[in-house]
Amino acid sequence: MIRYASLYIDDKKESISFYTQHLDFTVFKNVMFGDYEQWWILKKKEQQEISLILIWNEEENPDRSTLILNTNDCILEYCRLKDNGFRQLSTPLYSTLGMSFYFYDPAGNKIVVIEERAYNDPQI
Amino acid sequence: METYFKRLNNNNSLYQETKKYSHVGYQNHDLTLKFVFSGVQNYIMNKKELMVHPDCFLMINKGTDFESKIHSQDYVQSLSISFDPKFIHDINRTLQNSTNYLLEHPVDDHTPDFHFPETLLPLKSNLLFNLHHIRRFVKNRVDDDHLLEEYLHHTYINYLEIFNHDVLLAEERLESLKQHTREEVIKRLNLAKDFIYCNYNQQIGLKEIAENSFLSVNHLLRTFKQAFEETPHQFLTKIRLKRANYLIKNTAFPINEIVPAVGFECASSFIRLYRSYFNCTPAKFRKANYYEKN
Repeated sequence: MIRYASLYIDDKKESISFYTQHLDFTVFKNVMFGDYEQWWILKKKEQQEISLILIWNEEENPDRSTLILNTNDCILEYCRLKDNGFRQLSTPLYSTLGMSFYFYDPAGNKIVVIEERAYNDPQI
Repeated sequence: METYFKRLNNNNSLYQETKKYSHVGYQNHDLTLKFVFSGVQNYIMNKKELMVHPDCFLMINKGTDFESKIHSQDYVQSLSISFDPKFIHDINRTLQNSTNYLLEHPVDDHTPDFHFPETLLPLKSNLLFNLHHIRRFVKNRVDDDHLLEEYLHHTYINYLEIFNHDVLLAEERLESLKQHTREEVIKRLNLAKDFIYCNYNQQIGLKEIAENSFLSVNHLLRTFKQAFEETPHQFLTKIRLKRANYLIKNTAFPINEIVPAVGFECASSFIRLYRSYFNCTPAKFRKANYYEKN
């Protein structure tokens, strides 16, 4: 299931201000993803099921895209890909959004597989 | 009665049992995490009795003598995850040393004994989420060593995160004390938490909590708040609310019977506290969860 569309950005302040002021997005969450990457998750009131993520990375070339795929079980998916001979996987890592790992497609686009976790839900 | 045992290639293992009655005693072979998914399991060790509920877990070190007791009208489903000392040593080396050091010293035959505090800790965060997946694999009798090895690797890392957050960082938060004094205070504060975890349904006050943790009432109040950023009373209320919530979700007991069963004296204050903690009334939560499930 595809849940996010993402874009790399260069100037954080300018980009966030553009999307919030001109395109009516609101910043839903700011997440540190690993040591070098920061995500701003933006939502529109009328379209809660799909979000836009603005990605700022200290090291990577910003002309690549990232596709974020949702999963119910990150480690199961990680092991399935590994058992199928896929070797270029990052190790699963934790963030405030949940658990995820990533790999690159042949064109160099980054594919992130994420299991979102409601850490702050008192019912869990 | 239903049991499941799986030893993996790296000698880590999982053992699940579902029983109404059991009483065994033995020496623990490997460092083990003890969980229950439903009901309560009692452990007697080091002259104290600890009760594991679904919202907490217990770590038992290698070599500890203990008794385990289940005596319940309903089935108690429990899970033990044990870690081989070599596995723990390898992970700890990887976490504590730089990549360069590990490349220069790829093998370390010396396997030291690890000793963690044998106290109840909250089942939360990534450990809770990963354990739900493990429970599903055990239920479905998944026989995939690679997958289970990966999950148990994460379980140990998740345990270290909780240990780090709830024991080491709590210890660091204690003000103006020498290291060995801080260690002793946190040990006694953990006795206070264990006492609350196991006696939440009794009419306990600060005096009883302090007596059972070998601290004065004032010392307990001051250091508990410093270390855990909540008072003993707030911690007790949280445990009572969580356990009431578990009973509302998983049993048919009427709410007016659940209130005194978890230690609350007054139904109206229970409803007020419940609503403020869970953003929902107990009756609405029962309607949305229990009746839908059954």
